[in-house]
Amino acid sequence: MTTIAARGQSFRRRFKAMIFGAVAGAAALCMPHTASAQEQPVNVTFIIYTAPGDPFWQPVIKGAQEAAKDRDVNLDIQYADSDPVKQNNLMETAIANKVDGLAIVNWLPGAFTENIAKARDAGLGVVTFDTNDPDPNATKSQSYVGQDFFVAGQRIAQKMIEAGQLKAGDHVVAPVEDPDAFYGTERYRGIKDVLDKAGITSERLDATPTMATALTRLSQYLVGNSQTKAIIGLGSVVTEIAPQAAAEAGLDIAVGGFDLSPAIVDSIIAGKMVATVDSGAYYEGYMPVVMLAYYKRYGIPPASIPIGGTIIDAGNAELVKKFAGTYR
Amino acid sequence: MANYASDVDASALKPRGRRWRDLLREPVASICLLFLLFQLLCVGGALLFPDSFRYLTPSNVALLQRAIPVIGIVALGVGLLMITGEYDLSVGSVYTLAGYSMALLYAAGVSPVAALLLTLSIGIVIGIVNGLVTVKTGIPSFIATMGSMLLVRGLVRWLSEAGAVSFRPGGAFASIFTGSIFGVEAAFIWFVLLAGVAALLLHRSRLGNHMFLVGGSERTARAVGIHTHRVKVVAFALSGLAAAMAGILSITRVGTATPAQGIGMELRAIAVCVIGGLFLSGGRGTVLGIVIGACILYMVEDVLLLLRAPGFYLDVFVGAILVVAVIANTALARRSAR
Amino acid sequence: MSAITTPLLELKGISKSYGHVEALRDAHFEIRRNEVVGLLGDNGAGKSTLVKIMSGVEFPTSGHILRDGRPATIRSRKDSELLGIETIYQDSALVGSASIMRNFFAGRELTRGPGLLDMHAMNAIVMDQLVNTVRIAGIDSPDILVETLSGGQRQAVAIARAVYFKTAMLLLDEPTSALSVRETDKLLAHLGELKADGVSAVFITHNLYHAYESCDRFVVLSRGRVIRSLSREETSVRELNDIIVKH
Repeated sequence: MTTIAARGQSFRRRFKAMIFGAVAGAAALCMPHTASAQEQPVNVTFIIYTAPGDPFWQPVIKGAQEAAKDRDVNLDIQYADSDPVKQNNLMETAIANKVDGLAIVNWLPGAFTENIAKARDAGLGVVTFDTNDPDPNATKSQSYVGQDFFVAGQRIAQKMIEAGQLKAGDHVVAPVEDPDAFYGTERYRGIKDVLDKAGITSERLDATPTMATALTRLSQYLVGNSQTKAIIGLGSVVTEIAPQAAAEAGLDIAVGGFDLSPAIVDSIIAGKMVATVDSGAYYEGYMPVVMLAYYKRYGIPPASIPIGGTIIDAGNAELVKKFAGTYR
Repeated sequence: MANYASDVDASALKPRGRRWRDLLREPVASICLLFLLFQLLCVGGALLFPDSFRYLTPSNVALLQRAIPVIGIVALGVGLLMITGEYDLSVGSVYTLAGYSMALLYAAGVSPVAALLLTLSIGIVIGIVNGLVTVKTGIPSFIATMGSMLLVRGLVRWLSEAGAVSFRPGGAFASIFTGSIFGVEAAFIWFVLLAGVAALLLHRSRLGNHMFLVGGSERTARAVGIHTHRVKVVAFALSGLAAAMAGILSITRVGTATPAQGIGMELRAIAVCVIGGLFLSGGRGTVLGIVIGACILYMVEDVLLLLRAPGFYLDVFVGAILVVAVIANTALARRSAR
Repeated sequence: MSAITTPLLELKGISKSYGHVEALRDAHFEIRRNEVVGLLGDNGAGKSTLVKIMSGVEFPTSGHILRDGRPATIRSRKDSELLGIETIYQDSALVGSASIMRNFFAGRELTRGPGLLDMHAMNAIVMDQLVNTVRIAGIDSPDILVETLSGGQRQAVAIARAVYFKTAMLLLDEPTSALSVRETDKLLAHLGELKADGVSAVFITHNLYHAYESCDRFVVLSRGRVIRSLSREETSVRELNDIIVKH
């Protein structure tokens, strides 16, 4: 009684499945393969470690894409959602795919060492960008394109002391998106170095990589610690929301931080923020792609390039504004 | 005595054994077929274009074996619970907490094995709490476990403020979970073993029978004397246990843990179960379906990455498969129930 | 009918109130072995309440129960089960999404080893019951899902289960109301077979023809009281109808 109906249903399902499979297969085979041109394009997998959407990466992506166009590179940009497991999976897929170059962010101590070594052993070029272990020999990555965090931290701390007229006994808060990531810990180390010498206390705050949550966290901290005299954001998200957080908490204090975004530049021009440290985001995307392409083609080993570190304040912000979000 | 309709020729009622045709009619058979087709396509593609489609390379096969068990083991727990008619949204948070638990205990001097047992116990306890809250208060499990999801993740964030956590035990412990035998990764072996245990529990044990009945109709199950509350709490405990196990596997492989890990895992696990033929309303499903669902989910991601497709393709494909799976399952159920 | 034997189950002086409403007042009810008793009466007469007390869902406000002459308390379904009483509801207490075998042994699974089901034995028993004891046409496998069965087949499975687990007495609360004519016919035949196998039954129904066909004795309730108790030989459908309507 039931068998005929169920059998028909089951067959229909199977048929549907076969059609789906065939379509998927056809779609797969239609995907662009590497063309056999006169000069073989190079395949580079570029892994951004956060989830997509953070405006900080826009100049990075633009740089990477322009480099890919200039040097005939097949660029594959992937996102790791701040999950070391996912990033490892993406790296291993790139190795399995035998791409020519791998550009990653080494943002957690030791989490990616093994796969970087595996990539090198498999013949891939590896360049780390944006963040790296302070010990340059910690991994087999061939080079690091990014900021010297410690020095940058010292610089911004110095600038904030001057601009905010901070003196001994004052308190500074340093919000950060990922409390474990290298960039935060290293920049803070530099900041703390300068502040400690001036007798100023400081404290980090875990604000999460989401703008809305970061804003809430920081404002609440300020409301609870109204004696805070300055905010130094350790990354792009927290720096961007810092002026608003201060306003919401009713504090008129010096605000500064790291990285550029259109909103950050606007804040500086409007006088709501004192200064930020340029990350040189564009080169973080451009240089790794170029170097990996040249490594594949001519064997030139990638070189480490310290980038960024310039203080951007009201004096030079206008220049930046023109290209904020694209090149800066 | 009047001649009643029940006086039928006895030979017409001789029972027949379970034949292939009956097995093929099960919903899980359609899922297996879909999976086999998918594999045929991939293997075929890999053999025809070995340089552009590296599906069969040893490194890709090893990667699959390492990545599938994580979502697969979580899905085993979530699936067993779904069959009893309840949900656990806290598995992603428990997964992350397990990583922190291992790292912090190990850093405090506890041996890896003891840390493992303690961490698994934490998973079980969280599961039991979820279960008791759900059955005693009558709050839908969806809501109750959403609460524990946030609570546990908050706990993880608090633990993470003390600094980065790492877990590198080295030696025997690491090789049990990350080594490989004859090319088969340890993680995958664990997955298959756990799936085997789950299958035995679900399809061949008294508790498993009770799970199906409670999920099919809690009222009726209680009427025949089954302790429905007890069954559900046990299922919740298993869900927490599975999430903890997956977390231990992950941190042993990667070595560090971050608070943002595992977000969204609970929904992926539910998706795996639905793709595997489980009903959102409970009462139906197989362990084989869960295993294949996990394989399909990760393999689709793997294929898309190998083909260097942009990230959003994955969500689109998984979403499409999910919708088709739900429609097909619902249609099949509507057909069989009159 | 003449030998005075100890009744299988006896309810004496049972009263049940829900707040101000008196569902049963000093009701007496007994049933013997190999007997099918029809419980009749109009809506609200108290038939369902009486059956609920026997099955353990409700507890009487006063009165006592005797099983084989010995005092007994029925405070839960488990208690009534232990006394060998099984209730067949309209939806026959089966879980649709599970197979016949899994339903059959629900809560009473046979195991071998540490909690592992003895599938072979259970399957064999189910088929044996379905084929030989409660003959149900059209079911040829214990793995058929209950939801694919017709209403009558489901009732039959529930009855087969009750018989197997050596139920002494079945309580059937309006079992035929959702069945087709043919299926009702089969169900009534089962009742006859059950009686032959030594299972008594209390049969609540509105349909006096069905009752008359299958019951040995009739107990008529009206407004919570037992007003008449008649054997089949003593009465007719017409008379039963009059009794119910007039009170």
